[in-house]
Amino acid sequence: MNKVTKYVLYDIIRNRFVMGYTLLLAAVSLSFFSFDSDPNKGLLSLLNIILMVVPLVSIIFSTIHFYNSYEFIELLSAQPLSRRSIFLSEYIGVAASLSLAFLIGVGIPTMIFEGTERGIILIISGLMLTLSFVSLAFLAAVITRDKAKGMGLALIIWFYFALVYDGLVLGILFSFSDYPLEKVMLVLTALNPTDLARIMVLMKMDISALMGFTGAVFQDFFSTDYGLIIALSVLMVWVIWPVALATRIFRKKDL
Amino acid sequence: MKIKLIYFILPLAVLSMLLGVYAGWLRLGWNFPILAAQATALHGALMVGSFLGTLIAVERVAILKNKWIWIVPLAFVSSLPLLLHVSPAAGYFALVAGSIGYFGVSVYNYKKYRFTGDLLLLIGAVFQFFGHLALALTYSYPMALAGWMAFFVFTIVGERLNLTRFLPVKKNDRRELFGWLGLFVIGLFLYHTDYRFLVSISMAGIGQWLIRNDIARHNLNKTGSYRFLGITLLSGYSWLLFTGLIASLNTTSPWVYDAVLHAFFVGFVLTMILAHAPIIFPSLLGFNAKPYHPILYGWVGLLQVSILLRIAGDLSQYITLRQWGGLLNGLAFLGYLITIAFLLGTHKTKAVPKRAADPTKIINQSLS
Repeated sequence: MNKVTKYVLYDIIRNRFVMGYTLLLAAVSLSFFSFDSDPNKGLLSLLNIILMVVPLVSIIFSTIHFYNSYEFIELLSAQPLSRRSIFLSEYIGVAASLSLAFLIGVGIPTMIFEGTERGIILIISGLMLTLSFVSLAFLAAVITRDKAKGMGLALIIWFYFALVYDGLVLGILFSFSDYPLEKVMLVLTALNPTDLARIMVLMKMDISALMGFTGAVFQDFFSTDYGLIIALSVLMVWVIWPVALATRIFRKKDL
Repeated sequence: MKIKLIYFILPLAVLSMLLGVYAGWLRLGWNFPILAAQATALHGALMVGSFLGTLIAVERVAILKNKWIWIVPLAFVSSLPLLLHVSPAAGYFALVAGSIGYFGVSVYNYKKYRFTGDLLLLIGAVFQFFGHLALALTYSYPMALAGWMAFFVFTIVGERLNLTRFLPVKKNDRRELFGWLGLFVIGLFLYHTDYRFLVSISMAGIGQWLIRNDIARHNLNKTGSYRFLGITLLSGYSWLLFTGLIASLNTTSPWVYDAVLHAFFVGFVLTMILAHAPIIFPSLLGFNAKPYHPILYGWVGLLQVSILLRIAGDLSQYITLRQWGGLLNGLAFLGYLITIAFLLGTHKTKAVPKRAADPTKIINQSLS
């Protein structure tokens, strides 16, 4: 398993796209921290860009990579290796390379300019987002053999979490505005990894006070160690369940 | 492993379009929840720059071999996160940067091919640059409008001339077209004087020229997707003609301004996008497919009817009509794109063989 993971990892690290992604993240991070005198503002802008770009790159890159590696996976399947280890090696290789790109591109500049608790939370949130969207990409890719359909499914997942989900939540808030929804909002936030990552970072910043009563409930919950551990655990669930389901499908799949 | 940048750029462009359409609905007064508050004030920049600018730039760079040139559509699409999460100024300057790159691409293409259509595309690129620059410097959409409109007129006419260059067009007809285009440019500069009629006449002139001389009319005798292309193109050209007529109304009313704006951008530009989408999208994404289903007529028809509603609402100052027109505009466009995506997804697609992967070849094959 280690050998396959290493091969996938080295193969991706040498890829020009991943190098470009690392450089882009580094350029964005450095420019936000350098041009803004207020590191809080720089961190907020960086957070918003990360929430838009990192899930998109993670899910699309991983889906394309899986389909492009299909012949290699078929070849490995003919060897005395379990399906599970082949699939998880692919996953770990892709996830590790994209996480490394994120750590170099965002992690290092953030630690240099804003090596505080909120900076660390931003890095952890970004990493968890990368891992969870790679998981979702692998799930989309094993559901269908057709590359076009797999890409379409991956894009639908991204659109859902980037835009549609927030619209639905706002719709619920609008429709049931007469009812106390603060606790419900906590649960709804946990159902979207992007929202969860956003809230985790925002609650460590001064602006959380501007978010109204719901913000106060969020602040009470997420600013405690207990709340943070719960949030990280939920993000971990977003990493594990799609890849676990994908592994199960892959093991039974007729390649 | 080759990773096509289009797979990252296109989703962001579509996201710009979705946010732009949604912002448009909010601006019309629909009481929907506000998704991204900043987007509401940036409807024009999101639709014209982040969405259409990216789409047109992608189409132009896809045929070039140099991969670095993809930085042009990347600059355009980077305006989305910058507009929403940094500042409008940062987003506007991303559009200016993109339009400079697009100008470079247009110069390169013209020098290489020397087609008349490429020359018009190059002129369009100049206007696009000035449109975005005006927006970046003044933060005023009316200031950017002339540049944007000229960009789309020159780009669409140039594209059509390139795509139908095998059609015999008489010398006098070509002279007539250049006359209309020249008059259009002069008219834009004189629009706020007593000579605004020049813009009206020239837009109507370009519209009727395209109806007479484009391949669209020939396609009416065919069936299936060819006929669909012909009908949709003719609808778009008719809207350009109609925009000219509305622009001739001698008034400074903001209602007429809104009517002119949306007759042009939704009626003319978006209809042209709908006409080309079944050919352009699959070729850009590398699929050898031409999605078509008669249901597409329904969406195009709904778009046409809804623009009429919107314009009628504008001119009669009947807000409800205007609101419904705008809502249906967006739904028709979204419905069309979802249908195309569905048709592509359910089509037995196969990757385009390397030798046939040039989008221009696929487009020309589809049109011939």
